[in-house]
Amino acid sequence: MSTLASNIQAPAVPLKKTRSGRYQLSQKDVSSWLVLAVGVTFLFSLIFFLGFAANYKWDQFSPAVAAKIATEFFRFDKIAFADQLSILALLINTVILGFITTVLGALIGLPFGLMAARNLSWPWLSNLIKALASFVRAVPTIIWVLLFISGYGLTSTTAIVGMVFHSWAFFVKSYGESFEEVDPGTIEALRSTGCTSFQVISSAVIPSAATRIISWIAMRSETNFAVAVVIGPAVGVAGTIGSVINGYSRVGDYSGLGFSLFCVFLTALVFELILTRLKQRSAR
Amino acid sequence: MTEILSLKHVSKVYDNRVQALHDVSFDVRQGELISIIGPSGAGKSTLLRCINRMIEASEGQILFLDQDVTAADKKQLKEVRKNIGMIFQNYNLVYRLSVLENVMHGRLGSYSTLQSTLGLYRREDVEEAQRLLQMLGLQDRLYEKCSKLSGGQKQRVGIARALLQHPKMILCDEPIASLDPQSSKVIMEYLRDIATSMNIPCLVNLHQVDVALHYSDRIIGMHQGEVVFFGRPQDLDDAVIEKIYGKGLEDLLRHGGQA
Repeated sequence: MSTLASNIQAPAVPLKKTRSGRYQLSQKDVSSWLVLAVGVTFLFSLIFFLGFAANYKWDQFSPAVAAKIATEFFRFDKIAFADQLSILALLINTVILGFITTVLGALIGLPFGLMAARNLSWPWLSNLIKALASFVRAVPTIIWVLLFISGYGLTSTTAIVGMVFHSWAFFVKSYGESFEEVDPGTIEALRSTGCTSFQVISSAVIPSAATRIISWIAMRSETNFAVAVVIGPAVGVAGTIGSVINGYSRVGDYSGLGFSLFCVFLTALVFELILTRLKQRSAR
Repeated sequence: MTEILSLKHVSKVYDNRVQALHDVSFDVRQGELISIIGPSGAGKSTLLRCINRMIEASEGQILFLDQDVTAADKKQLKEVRKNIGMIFQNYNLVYRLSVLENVMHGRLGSYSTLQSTLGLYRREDVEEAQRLLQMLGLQDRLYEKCSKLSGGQKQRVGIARALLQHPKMILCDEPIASLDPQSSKVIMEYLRDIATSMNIPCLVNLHQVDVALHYSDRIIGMHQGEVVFFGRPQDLDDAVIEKIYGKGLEDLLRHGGQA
């Protein structure tokens, strides 16, 4: 008789049952109660704050107003054809803004991503670049755009620079992590053939990380489209669909608002579909 | 027979504490298949990687084609590495790329970075890669992604990549440890054939004593960083097995020998 077999025949330690009738599978400790207590407190204080303490005018949200908005919202026929065309032109502008900033950020981010990857770079350089990138990333894109505008004035170029700046930092982090996940064995195999470090990067590291890189770019182009939409009303960059939306909402033109938002929604949906397709293709 | 590689009193100490190799000396001749056996942690992988300086040896001399590898500068080391093919347990291919692209990596050393990045390989090199893959029975899968291959096929791609280097020697780090018995046999027979008919010596880390006995010209037995046996397979007896693997495994030789 082996020792394993005799062990398995020994009587099991009696199991504990919880009050809800399940068998206990893990040790309950104080921290899980603490998390629950904090969560409940937070929930109740949120209800109190929104319902009583803060000075929100909840009575303005009357069903009549909601009904008016809802009926006006989908009256696309109330907008002149010329206006529809100009809204579409602005939509294209916005898409291009998101696209350009993503591509530029992805390109400029590549060498920095390589320098940030621990397995390809020196530790001091990797730490330096990662620290710099996380500082840039910690500040939201809009704030960077505002910062650049205060320095260089309100033009679409400044908007691009600000958005690229934040995208760059995003790509440094995501590229760096993608490269770090490349199998060290593959890198070793290429190094052992006697090729240069750049060849290891171009022939092994980047191809191995390509799937991840593509999905990071896909993700960022969605984000940058969203930022490009918001950047109009938030910062005041003219020539994007956001500024048009802002204009309609100020004059209370719900039909214009509805049409513009519908355009944004449709574009985001198309984006999502294309990018999902792209990711699936690259993963194969 | 001429000597291709000769190690003299090679030692390796990690972080000034762990002695991975202690005073290792042996030589490899043309056309030989030499197996290195020993328990995990005996220093087999470290030993292989010291030869092409993927790991730096702490002491001793490594002569490869009468050139001291340990003293080679960057350019000489590149030449040494080009002349030594390497095969791995986990194949270490770029799985997103095709079979042919992976085999071409064996030739990277003779191309500039720009050429290899753009895939501007010379016709004769691609043709040779194709011939090698045909020789290894992969002619139908040239353009397939490596991730779609089975383990044995992946290892054959690894062998083709090593052979395209025109190596003077091949280092194999547990080439069959992740393979089923049938694929293992195929791979070992290829290695045996490479050693005998292509006259390229192979230095093979193995866990299977029976495989080592069957295919090797000579066997190196290692225990805790030291070479405790270096000789022909027929000289490997129970006492030697005990020295390599410790007590309790003496039956290895009589019972087909999975270590």
